[in-house]
Amino acid sequence: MKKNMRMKIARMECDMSQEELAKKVGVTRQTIGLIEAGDYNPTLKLCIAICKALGKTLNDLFWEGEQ
Amino acid sequence: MKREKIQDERIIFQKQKIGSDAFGIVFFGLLISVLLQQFVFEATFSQYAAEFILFVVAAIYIIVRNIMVGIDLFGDSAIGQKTVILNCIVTGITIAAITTTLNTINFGLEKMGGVSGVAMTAIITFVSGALITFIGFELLYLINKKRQKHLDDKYDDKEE
Repeated sequence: MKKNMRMKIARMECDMSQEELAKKVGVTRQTIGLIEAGDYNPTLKLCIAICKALGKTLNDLFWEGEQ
Repeated sequence: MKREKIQDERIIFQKQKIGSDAFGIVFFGLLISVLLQQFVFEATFSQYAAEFILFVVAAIYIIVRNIMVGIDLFGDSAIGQKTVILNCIVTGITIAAITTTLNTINFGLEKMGGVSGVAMTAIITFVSGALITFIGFELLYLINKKRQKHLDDKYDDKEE
Protein backbone atom coordinates (compact mmCIF):
# COMPACT_ATOMS: atom_id res chain seq x y z
CA MET A 1 0.00 0.00 0.00
CA LYS A 2 1.22 3.51 -0.84
CA LYS A 3 2.22 5.98 1.87
CA ASN A 4 -0.46 8.55 2.64
CA MET A 5 1.61 11.72 2.41
CA ARG A 6 -1.48 13.89 1.91
CA MET A 7 -2.76 12.95 5.33
CA LYS A 8 0.63 13.62 6.92
CA ILE A 9 0.87 17.05 5.22
CA ALA A 10 -2.72 17.92 6.23
CA ARG A 11 -1.93 16.97 9.83
CA MET A 12 1.21 19.11 9.81
CA GLU A 13 -0.74 22.02 8.31
CA CYS A 14 -3.09 21.76 11.28
CA ASP A 15 0.00 21.77 13.52
CA MET A 16 -1.08 18.52 15.04
CA SER A 17 1.03 15.59 16.23
CA GLN A 18 0.08 11.99 15.53
CA GLU A 19 -0.78 11.69 19.20
CA GLU A 20 -3.14 14.67 19.08
CA LEU A 21 -4.89 13.49 15.94
CA ALA A 22 -5.20 10.00 17.40
CA LYS A 23 -6.76 11.40 20.56
CA LYS A 24 -9.18 13.51 18.52
CA VAL A 25 -10.46 10.59 16.46
CA GLY A 26 -10.31 8.07 19.30
CA VAL A 27 -7.61 5.69 18.11
CA THR A 28 -4.04 4.97 19.19
CA ARG A 29 -1.03 6.87 17.85
CA GLN A 30 0.22 3.66 16.20
CA THR A 31 -2.94 3.46 14.09
CA ILE A 32 -2.39 6.99 12.74
CA GLY A 33 1.26 6.11 12.07
CA LEU A 34 0.25 2.94 10.24
CA ILE A 35 -2.32 4.80 8.08
CA GLU A 36 0.26 7.44 7.13
CA ALA A 37 2.80 4.73 6.36
CA GLY A 38 0.23 2.97 4.18
CA ASP A 39 0.38 -0.17 6.30
CA TYR A 40 -3.22 -0.08 7.51
CA ASN A 41 -6.38 0.37 5.51
CA PRO A 42 -8.83 2.32 7.71
CA THR A 43 -12.59 1.87 7.59
CA LEU A 44 -14.75 4.56 6.04
CA LYS A 45 -15.91 5.57 9.53
CA LEU A 46 -12.33 6.30 10.63
CA CYS A 47 -11.50 8.04 7.32
CA ILE A 48 -14.44 10.40 7.86
CA ALA A 49 -13.40 11.07 11.46
CA ILE A 50 -9.85 11.91 10.31
CA CYS A 51 -11.16 14.18 7.53
CA LYS A 52 -13.39 16.03 10.00
CA ALA A 53 -10.51 16.42 12.45
CA LEU A 54 -8.22 17.81 9.75
CA GLY A 55 -10.87 19.89 7.98
CA LYS A 56 -10.46 18.04 4.70
CA THR A 57 -12.65 15.94 2.45
CA LEU A 58 -12.30 12.25 1.72
CA ASN A 59 -11.16 13.17 -1.78
CA ASP A 60 -8.40 15.39 -0.39
CA LEU A 61 -6.93 12.70 1.83
CA PHE A 62 -7.88 9.28 0.56
CA TRP A 63 -8.87 9.34 -3.11
CA GLU A 64 -6.20 7.77 -5.24
CA GLY A 65 -6.76 9.39 -8.64
CA GLU A 66 -4.31 9.41 -11.52
CA GLN A 67 -1.49 11.57 -10.33
CA MET B 1 -19.27 20.21 21.60
CA LYS B 2 -20.30 16.63 21.15
CA ARG B 3 -17.27 14.46 20.53
CA GLU B 4 -17.80 11.19 18.76
CA LYS B 5 -15.86 8.43 20.43
CA ILE B 6 -14.43 5.84 18.08
CA GLN B 7 -12.80 2.74 19.50
CA ASP B 8 -9.54 1.86 17.82
CA GLU B 9 -10.83 -0.32 15.02
CA ARG B 10 -7.36 -1.68 14.18
CA ILE B 11 -6.97 -3.06 17.70
CA ILE B 12 -10.52 -4.45 17.67
CA PHE B 13 -9.91 -6.17 14.30
CA GLN B 14 -6.59 -7.56 15.42
CA LYS B 15 -8.07 -8.89 18.66
CA GLN B 16 -10.88 -10.50 16.66
CA LYS B 17 -8.32 -12.04 14.29
CA ILE B 18 -6.30 -13.42 17.20
CA GLY B 19 -9.50 -14.83 18.74
CA SER B 20 -10.44 -16.38 15.43
CA ASP B 21 -6.98 -17.94 14.99
CA ALA B 22 -7.08 -19.28 18.54
CA PHE B 23 -10.49 -20.81 17.84
CA GLY B 24 -9.06 -22.45 14.70
CA ILE B 25 -6.25 -24.00 16.73
CA VAL B 26 -8.66 -25.33 19.38
CA PHE B 27 -11.14 -26.54 16.74
CA PHE B 28 -8.59 -28.58 14.80
CA GLY B 29 -6.93 -29.61 18.06
CA LEU B 30 -10.24 -31.14 19.13
CA LEU B 31 -10.56 -32.96 15.81
CA ILE B 32 -7.02 -34.35 16.03
CA SER B 33 -7.62 -35.33 19.67
CA VAL B 34 -10.83 -37.22 18.77
CA LEU B 35 -9.21 -39.00 15.82
CA LEU B 36 -6.12 -39.97 17.82
CA GLN B 37 -8.17 -41.31 20.72
CA GLN B 38 -10.54 -43.16 18.42
CA PHE B 39 -8.10 -44.75 16.00
CA VAL B 40 -4.67 -44.74 17.62
CA PHE B 41 -5.46 -45.27 21.30
CA GLU B 42 -8.67 -47.20 20.56
CA ALA B 43 -10.46 -45.41 23.39
CA THR B 44 -14.14 -45.97 24.06
CA PHE B 45 -16.56 -43.23 22.97
CA SER B 46 -17.17 -42.08 26.54
CA GLN B 47 -13.48 -41.20 26.83
CA TYR B 48 -13.55 -38.69 24.01
CA ALA B 49 -17.26 -37.79 24.04
CA ALA B 50 -16.69 -34.31 25.48
CA GLU B 51 -14.22 -33.34 22.74
CA PHE B 52 -16.42 -34.86 20.05
CA ILE B 53 -19.56 -33.07 21.24
CA LEU B 54 -17.69 -29.76 21.52
CA PHE B 55 -16.31 -30.20 17.99
CA VAL B 56 -19.75 -30.95 16.54
CA VAL B 57 -21.40 -28.07 18.43
CA ALA B 58 -18.70 -25.64 17.24
CA ALA B 59 -19.09 -26.83 13.64
CA ILE B 60 -22.89 -26.47 13.81
CA TYR B 61 -22.52 -23.01 15.37
CA ILE B 62 -20.25 -21.85 12.53
CA ILE B 63 -22.66 -23.10 9.87
CA VAL B 64 -25.78 -21.69 11.56
CA ARG B 65 -24.20 -18.26 12.16
CA ASN B 66 -22.95 -18.12 8.57
CA ILE B 67 -26.40 -18.89 7.21
CA MET B 68 -28.11 -16.49 9.65
CA VAL B 69 -25.96 -13.51 8.69
CA GLY B 70 -26.55 -14.28 5.02
CA ILE B 71 -23.20 -15.68 3.91
CA ASP B 72 -23.82 -17.89 0.89
CA LEU B 73 -22.10 -21.17 1.78
CA PHE B 74 -22.76 -22.91 -1.53
CA GLY B 75 -22.58 -20.26 -4.25
CA ASP B 76 -25.05 -20.39 -7.13
CA SER B 77 -27.35 -23.35 -7.79
CA ALA B 78 -25.20 -25.37 -10.20
CA ILE B 79 -21.99 -24.97 -8.22
CA GLY B 80 -23.90 -25.54 -4.95
CA GLN B 81 -25.31 -28.87 -6.08
CA LYS B 82 -21.92 -29.94 -7.43
CA THR B 83 -20.38 -29.06 -4.05
CA VAL B 84 -22.98 -31.18 -2.24
CA ILE B 85 -22.38 -34.20 -4.49
CA LEU B 86 -18.59 -33.82 -4.38
CA ASN B 87 -18.70 -33.60 -0.58
CA CYS B 88 -20.82 -36.78 -0.41
CA ILE B 89 -18.42 -38.73 -2.60
CA VAL B 90 -15.28 -37.54 -0.79
CA THR B 91 -16.83 -38.18 2.65
CA GLY B 92 -18.13 -41.59 1.55
CA ILE B 93 -14.70 -42.62 0.24
CA THR B 94 -12.94 -41.33 3.37
CA ILE B 95 -15.30 -43.17 5.75
CA ALA B 96 -15.17 -46.36 3.68
CA ALA B 97 -11.36 -46.29 3.40
CA ILE B 98 -10.75 -45.64 7.12
CA THR B 99 -13.33 -48.05 8.56
CA THR B 100 -12.65 -50.88 6.09
CA THR B 101 -8.89 -50.63 6.61
CA LEU B 102 -9.22 -50.58 10.40
CA ASN B 103 -11.76 -53.41 10.45
CA THR B 104 -9.56 -55.54 8.18
CA ILE B 105 -6.55 -54.88 10.44
CA ASN B 106 -8.52 -55.60 13.62
CA PHE B 107 -10.54 -58.64 12.51
CA GLY B 108 -8.31 -60.08 9.81
CA LEU B 109 -9.03 -60.82 6.17
CA GLU B 110 -10.69 -64.17 6.86
CA LYS B 111 -13.25 -62.87 9.35
CA MET B 112 -14.07 -60.10 6.89
CA GLY B 113 -15.03 -62.72 4.30
CA GLY B 114 -11.96 -62.55 2.10
CA VAL B 115 -11.23 -59.97 -0.58
CA SER B 116 -14.80 -60.00 -1.86
CA GLY B 117 -16.12 -59.52 1.68
CA VAL B 118 -13.81 -56.54 2.22
CA ALA B 119 -14.88 -55.04 -1.12
CA MET B 120 -18.55 -55.55 -0.26
CA THR B 121 -18.09 -53.96 3.18
CA ALA B 122 -16.28 -51.02 1.60
CA ILE B 123 -19.06 -50.50 -0.95
CA ILE B 124 -21.83 -50.68 1.68
CA THR B 125 -19.93 -48.30 3.97
CA PHE B 126 -19.33 -45.92 1.07
CA VAL B 127 -23.01 -45.90 0.06
CA SER B 128 -24.22 -45.43 3.66
CA GLY B 129 -21.67 -42.70 4.38
CA ALA B 130 -22.37 -40.87 1.13
CA LEU B 131 -26.13 -41.12 1.62
CA ILE B 132 -26.08 -39.76 5.18
CA THR B 133 -23.71 -36.97 4.11
CA PHE B 134 -25.96 -36.18 1.15
CA ILE B 135 -29.02 -35.84 3.39
CA GLY B 136 -27.14 -33.54 5.77
CA PHE B 137 -25.58 -31.38 3.05
CA GLU B 138 -28.74 -31.20 0.95
CA LEU B 139 -30.66 -30.02 4.00
CA LEU B 140 -28.04 -27.35 4.62
CA TYR B 141 -28.07 -26.41 0.94
CA LEU B 142 -31.84 -25.94 0.96
CA ILE B 143 -31.84 -23.90 4.20
CA ASN B 144 -28.99 -21.76 2.80
CA LYS B 145 -30.86 -21.24 -0.47
CA LYS B 146 -34.04 -20.24 1.37
CA ARG B 147 -32.14 -17.75 3.52
CA GLN B 148 -30.41 -16.26 0.47
CA LYS B 149 -33.76 -15.85 -1.28
CA HIS B 150 -35.24 -14.19 1.80
CA LEU B 151 -32.35 -11.70 1.94
CA ASP B 152 -32.47 -11.09 -1.83
CA ASP B 153 -36.19 -10.29 -1.62
CA LYS B 154 -35.73 -8.10 1.45
CA TYR B 155 -32.98 -5.92 -0.01
CA ASP B 156 -34.01 -5.94 -3.66
CA ASP B 157 -34.40 -2.28 -4.74
CA LYS B 158 -37.42 -2.87 -6.95
CA GLU B 159 -38.99 0.21 -8.52
CA GLU B 160 -42.08 1.19 -6.54
